[in-house]
Amino acid sequence: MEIVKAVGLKKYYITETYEVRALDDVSLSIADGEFLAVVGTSGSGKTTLLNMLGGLDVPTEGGVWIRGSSLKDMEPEERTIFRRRNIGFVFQQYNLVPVLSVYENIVLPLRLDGTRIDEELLGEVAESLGIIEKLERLPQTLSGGQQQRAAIARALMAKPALILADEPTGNLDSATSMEVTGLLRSCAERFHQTMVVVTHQEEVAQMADLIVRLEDGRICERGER
Amino acid sequence: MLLHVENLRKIYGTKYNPTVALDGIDFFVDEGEFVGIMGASGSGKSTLLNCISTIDMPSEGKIVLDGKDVSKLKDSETAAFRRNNLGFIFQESKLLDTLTVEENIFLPLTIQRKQYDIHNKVKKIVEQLGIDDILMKFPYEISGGQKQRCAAARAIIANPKLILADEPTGALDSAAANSLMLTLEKLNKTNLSTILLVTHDPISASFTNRVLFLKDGKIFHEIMKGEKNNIDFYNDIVNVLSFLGGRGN
Amino acid sequence: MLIKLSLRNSRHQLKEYGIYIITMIISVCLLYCFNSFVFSEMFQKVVALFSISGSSGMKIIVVFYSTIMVFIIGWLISYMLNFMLRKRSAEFGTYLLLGMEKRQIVELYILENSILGVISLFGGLILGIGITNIFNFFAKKISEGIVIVLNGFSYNAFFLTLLYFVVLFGVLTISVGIKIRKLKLITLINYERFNEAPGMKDLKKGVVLFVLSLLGGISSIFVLYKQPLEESNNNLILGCSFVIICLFLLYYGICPFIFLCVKRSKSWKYKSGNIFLFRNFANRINKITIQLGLASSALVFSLLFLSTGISYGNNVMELLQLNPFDVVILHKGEKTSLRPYYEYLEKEKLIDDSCLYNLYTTNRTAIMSIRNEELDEYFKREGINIEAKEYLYDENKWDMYIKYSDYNSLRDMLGYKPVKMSDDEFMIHCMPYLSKGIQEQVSQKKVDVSSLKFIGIRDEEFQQYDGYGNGQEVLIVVPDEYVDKLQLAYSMLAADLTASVKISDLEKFVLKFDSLEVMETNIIEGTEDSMTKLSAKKGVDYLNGRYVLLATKVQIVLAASLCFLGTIMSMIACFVLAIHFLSDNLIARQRYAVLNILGYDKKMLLKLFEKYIFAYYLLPIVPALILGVGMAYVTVAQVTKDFFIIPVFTETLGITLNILGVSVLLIIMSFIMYAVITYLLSRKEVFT
Repeated sequence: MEIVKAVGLKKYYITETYEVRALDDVSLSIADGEFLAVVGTSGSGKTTLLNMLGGLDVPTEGGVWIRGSSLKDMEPEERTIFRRRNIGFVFQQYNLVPVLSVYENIVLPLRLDGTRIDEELLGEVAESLGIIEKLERLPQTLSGGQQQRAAIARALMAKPALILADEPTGNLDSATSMEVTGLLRSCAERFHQTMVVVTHQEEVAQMADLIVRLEDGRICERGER
Repeated sequence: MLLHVENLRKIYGTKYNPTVALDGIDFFVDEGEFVGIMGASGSGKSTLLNCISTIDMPSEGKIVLDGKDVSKLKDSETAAFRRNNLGFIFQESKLLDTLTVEENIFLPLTIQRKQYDIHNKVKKIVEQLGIDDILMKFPYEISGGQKQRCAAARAIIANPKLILADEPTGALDSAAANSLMLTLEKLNKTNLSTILLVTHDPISASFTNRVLFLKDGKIFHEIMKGEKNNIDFYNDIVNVLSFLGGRGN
Repeated sequence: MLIKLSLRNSRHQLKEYGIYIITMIISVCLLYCFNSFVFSEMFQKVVALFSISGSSGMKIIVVFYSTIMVFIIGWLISYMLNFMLRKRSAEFGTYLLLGMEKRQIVELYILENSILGVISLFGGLILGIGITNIFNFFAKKISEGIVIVLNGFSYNAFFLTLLYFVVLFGVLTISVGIKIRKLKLITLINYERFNEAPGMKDLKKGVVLFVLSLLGGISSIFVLYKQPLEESNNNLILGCSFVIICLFLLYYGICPFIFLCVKRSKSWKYKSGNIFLFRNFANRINKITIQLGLASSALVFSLLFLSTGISYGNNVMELLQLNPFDVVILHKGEKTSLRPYYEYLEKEKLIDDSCLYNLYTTNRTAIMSIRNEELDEYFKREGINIEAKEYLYDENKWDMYIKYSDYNSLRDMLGYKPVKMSDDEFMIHCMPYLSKGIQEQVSQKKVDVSSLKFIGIRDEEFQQYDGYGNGQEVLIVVPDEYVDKLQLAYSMLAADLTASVKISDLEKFVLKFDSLEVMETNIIEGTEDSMTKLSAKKGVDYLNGRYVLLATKVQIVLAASLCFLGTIMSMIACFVLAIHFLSDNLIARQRYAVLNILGYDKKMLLKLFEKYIFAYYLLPIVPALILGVGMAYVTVAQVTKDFFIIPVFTETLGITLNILGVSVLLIIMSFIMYAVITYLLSRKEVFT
């Protein structure tokens, strides 16, 4: 089943002095449970693509369908709720709320949605991510890698169909990078989630099922493992 | 012998819950060497670099640089030591965003010393590194690769005894990374700069002439380039890494 | 759960944004004090008195000032809320990303803000009540029972302040809430990425602006001193406009200008720390040029308002001193018994000391012609276009006399030493500005006063200013029998009231007696020979004296309002400067960390930091003080001179400098306080 479909995505920023084509006709399709890595140099459009897929931004042309629903056609509030229920985000800046404990941060999306918290699952996830002892702490007392892992736990807890990660290991050293990517992958396999990871690190990309390379807003290479 | 690290230990945490980052490191570095330090994180390479650069204090052991034991330096003396002896290249260049490239480069020369002829010194170096056309720009106006070359220029301008590079290619794409490593290689060959390079990337490491591998806080293995070319050296490195096992590709 | 989050956020914000809370509390406090003043008994009577005489001017002034106050505080709150919103935009981005609906985020924000608002409100009210009570304590001591006190706790002020603040804060919070609703998620997430360091602004343009700014500054001083325009008010407005132009342009141009000066100098560029300091400083200044112009202008106006307010206050104080009797009742022309008034006041236990006496006159103008001469000379010297004859009430154009015994009783009432005078002598009591002239002319017998021997002059305050007191600026003291030859001018009752008298007691007093009216010196009638004459009607007893004078003087209102405004503007300037400095802390921390690695030790870094903050705070205040003092000097001198038509202050320069000194000191003190707080807070954040 096709979880993500993007057709003819274009994102142009036009001013009087110049025209920037962040995305210039990008189409792709991701099946259920696949792990896609998006690579390319900075400025190639990777982050813009991710923002489109996650409904954080609207394309100038083209459309995105998640589980058959068109993001473009939703009202902003509708999109917010859709995102909450179907997409998990892991961004480079960990985006943890500083005044809440790690536990409270992880369950925040669930609480917002009013869903029951599966404590057992949380325990498992926290354990496999190695942060089970830090649950009561505040984010600033954790190291960079630990904060990132907490953000991943948060993304996983809602069991979304799709997880979008933008340079999730960008600020981490390489072994932690590999660890975190590996965890993402194994959790995704376990809960049968689809994963899209934007990265500039080749070794992270090499853990993916599919690789797409962007350059100047276009796909210049597709690869499969 | 420029650098001698003797039985270096670094322990974090509390008495009851200690983390041993460095567990007895011993090695030498001679003048003019280009040494790579590899290993998974948690293996202690960043910690090692921090101790050598006096940013961090070892728990035990000696670090003797150019005859001086830096592990015994007082807090107030470490800054002076750094400016007089060391040059740094970081993963994120750490150029000061409010200064132009030129000013970033000559900044080390202005710290508490009388310097003459700064302008020409800068000129020589930027020509060598191929960044003479961006002297008047600000860091936000130039690419990542250019930033790292500026960082390299800043690192060498004060003629430090030792250059410390911590994952300098980490945030660069392969073309820029290659360019930077060539630059460092050239610096080592023509200026005879002594460089200590911490990296996880075997390609970058292949430009060095000697690689130390760390595992669990100790030096696990060491290989020399000798007369080999980069590609062969690269293969040697990759072999050792896979032998190190488990982590990474 | 949202409630828990908002509580935690509020607590977090209290710590992080302490300086905002402090400033808000001070604002509420000032608002309360101002309202307390407006609702004080004395002030209310002023308004009432004015409306009785048909002029609604007072009410308009009050509304005007209240509006300005509210407007300024509203602006301050708005500025603060928007600033905090920008800082928290990343946080709100996170909430949006996590799937919190905009509606929920706005609710969260409103809840958090309300908590902070409530804390500021009650903190400010408590502080305000405390301050008004302290003020009362000192006012009572200084003014010896003069009714310039505020209520210990004024219900009206309390509720009005509450109302103002709730409305302001509520409206502004909601408007920011609406802004949040309109925010797009993508801008929030990308906010950090668009935060680059701007380089030096265009050099040439900058230097041109700097030169223009200097010109502007010089023009403003020129306008103020040469007064090229006809009306002095227009000159002031023109001067102010030049000042504002000068200050706003200055910050656009000063860094390019400095850069131009030092660009060539290799030694400067390469000296330790200079280039870093300069670039950082220029970078900061370029980001906040408008705010600097604003802060600087606010300081200038603060100085202007404060010093003008103080000088009005000073004038009022002087006026009170010139009228040392609390109550003076006078009856024109015919002998009346003012005893009933005395008895009433005695019965009501309002009176401390009193004296019933008469003033006499005759058809001579010996002394008054000296007075006219002296005054005309003064007017000519100062370029005032009046004749002494015009500033003279009709009844006072003849010389005025008083009995020696009455004179000494009055002296006794006021606590002056009695004078000894024998039956063949006379003396003169006049205002200080006339002493020399009269002494000269009378002792040299240039003017023939009478057959008595002249023994000298006294010039203590004696209710001689503005007529309808003990003579218009001059009174002749003669032996008791001498007055038999003279006509009766006025019957007088002078009284000192006890300390506990309130204006309402006086009101009751006036109402009780049909024949008693409050003397209103604004109402003037002309005479046939074009002398001004007050409508001191026959058959009416007039109530004059210190209390009445006080109640009819607009200057008190002006004084208080201007001082409040001055304080607020100064606070705004300090606040704006402080928050912009503090907002840079985290980035500064990173920069200093890099310097540390490159080889700057902690001591060197701290010194750099201190130089930086010193320059940062010096930059806005130096031009502000220079221009402000220039402007204030002119206005204060003018105000001091214009208030009293006759020369009352012997040394205007000294007084002007004093007032300026006090204002400058006050402003510098609060400025330094904010600067020090900023320094300590920043040092903690940047260097630990």
